Amino acid sequence: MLRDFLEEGIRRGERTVLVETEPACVAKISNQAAPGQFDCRSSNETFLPAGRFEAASMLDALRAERDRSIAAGFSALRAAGEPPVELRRNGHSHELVAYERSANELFATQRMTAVCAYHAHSTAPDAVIGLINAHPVVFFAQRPTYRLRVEQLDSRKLAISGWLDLTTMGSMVDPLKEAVGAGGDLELDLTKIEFVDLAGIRLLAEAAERLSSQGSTLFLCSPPSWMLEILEMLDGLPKGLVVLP
Amino acid sequence: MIGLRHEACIYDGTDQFLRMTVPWIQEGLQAGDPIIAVAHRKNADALREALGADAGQIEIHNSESWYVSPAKSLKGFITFAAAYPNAQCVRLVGEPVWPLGWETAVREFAHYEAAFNVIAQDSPIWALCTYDANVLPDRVLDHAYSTHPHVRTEALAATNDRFVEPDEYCAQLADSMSEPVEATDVDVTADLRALCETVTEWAMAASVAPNRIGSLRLAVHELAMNALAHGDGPASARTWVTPAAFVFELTSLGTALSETTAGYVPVDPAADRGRGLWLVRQLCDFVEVRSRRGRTVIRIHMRRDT
Repeated sequence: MLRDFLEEGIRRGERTVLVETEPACVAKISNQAAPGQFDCRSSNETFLPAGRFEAASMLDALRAERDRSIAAGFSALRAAGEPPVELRRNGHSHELVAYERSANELFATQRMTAVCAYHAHSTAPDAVIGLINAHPVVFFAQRPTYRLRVEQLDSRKLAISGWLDLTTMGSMVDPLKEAVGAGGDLELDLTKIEFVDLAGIRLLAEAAERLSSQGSTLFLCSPPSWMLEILEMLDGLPKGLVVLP
Repeated sequence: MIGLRHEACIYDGTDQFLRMTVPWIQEGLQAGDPIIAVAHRKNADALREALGADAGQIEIHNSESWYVSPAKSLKGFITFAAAYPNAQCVRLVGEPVWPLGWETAVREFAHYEAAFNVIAQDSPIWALCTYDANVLPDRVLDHAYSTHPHVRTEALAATNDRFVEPDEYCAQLADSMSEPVEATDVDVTADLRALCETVTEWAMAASVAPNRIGSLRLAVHELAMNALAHGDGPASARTWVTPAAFVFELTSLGTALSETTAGYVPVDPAADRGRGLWLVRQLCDFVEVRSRRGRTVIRIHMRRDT
């Protein structure tokens, strides 16, 4: 995943940095890069200079590196890598989550992109959700044990089954956006939905509002009784949302 | 009228209840104030009769179906007041149901009375909270004196010098949260389904009504998700059972919450944060919050159907 991401940057004339977790891909990438375009460095030295993690100086260093890359004529800075395991363990991971959250500001400028890799088994479980929430886009090499399934029943009907929450809703965002974008009323079959959290309900409400602005309706078909109770609690259904028993 | 006037009305029996509320309601009707009265069934019926034709001009509810939980009753009053944005004064009569055998419930209704001073402080609300001195024990009347800036009896309406600042009183109430005799730890990890399933299984075994299990599951999920996503470090959880309720407690580290108002103030539906605890309060019977020195303990109580 990291190699593809960095190679794409090299093709686009961006400066690329790999914070070493996969020594195996270094040679292949550096072969394609122009002089000064690719750089590889150790995870420990990057995240723990002098043996300590300092979120503020990490952010400063990133900002400076981006500015240097642009000054040197590259179109952007692209980084990929993984923090050292010491930072990902229980007890330290909250600093990392806070750092990842504040790093988003840096990426808002569009002259910088990064893929942050997290090994699921060596990263503290407590940190995983915080890390997921700190990143606008998340790829799973390995999915959580529970998941959400989205099935296209026909052009205007999707069946949503399984567990819908903040950690799984990623797999529903695109199919839903596409279905809403195509226009017209949309039906969601919820017969086999197992769980929905507030984030999931918000996702449905946003889709309904978008449909409603086009004069269409989002039909929730056969939601379980517990889901009806929760929808009721939220002070009336959002605009454009209709529940069919 | 500017801001809240939160008054306790200590009465003795239904006749006195009527003598103390009916003229106050009629005065409000004369002034064109929107009025809602929530009282124990017996008082509510008597009020309807005493008001005669005027009863149709106000909303009257029975406490038994209104005071299901502090959060739900608060939401009811706030929704009523919000329907009259241009009113000079909105009058509320409120008579909580005090579940005397359930310490947490009494404490949380007292907490709600204290928090009301803060939550509604800028609203043009005149609230008359009625307390039946004939029935209620001294500890409940003590709560009434501690949480209302004004107290009236039939003989006297006056500023109440026993009133305690809401933040201070809510901190005292949080201090008196008792430790369980025996509790079972539950792991809080990224596997939220496992956590939700474990907790709901135990809740069912403890006779929480089947139609409340979905609410409990969502509440547990919201609390754990919040702690994992925003907490500064590992979260822990435990559950236990009391004669009245199934209890789930989550402890997390991070920014402190207000012990007085956390989860009581309705949040903008579009807001990402802050809705979690508001929803948890709507979903559960009682929710206790103790938040000190970066450590927040949230306990949710679900009534056992025994």
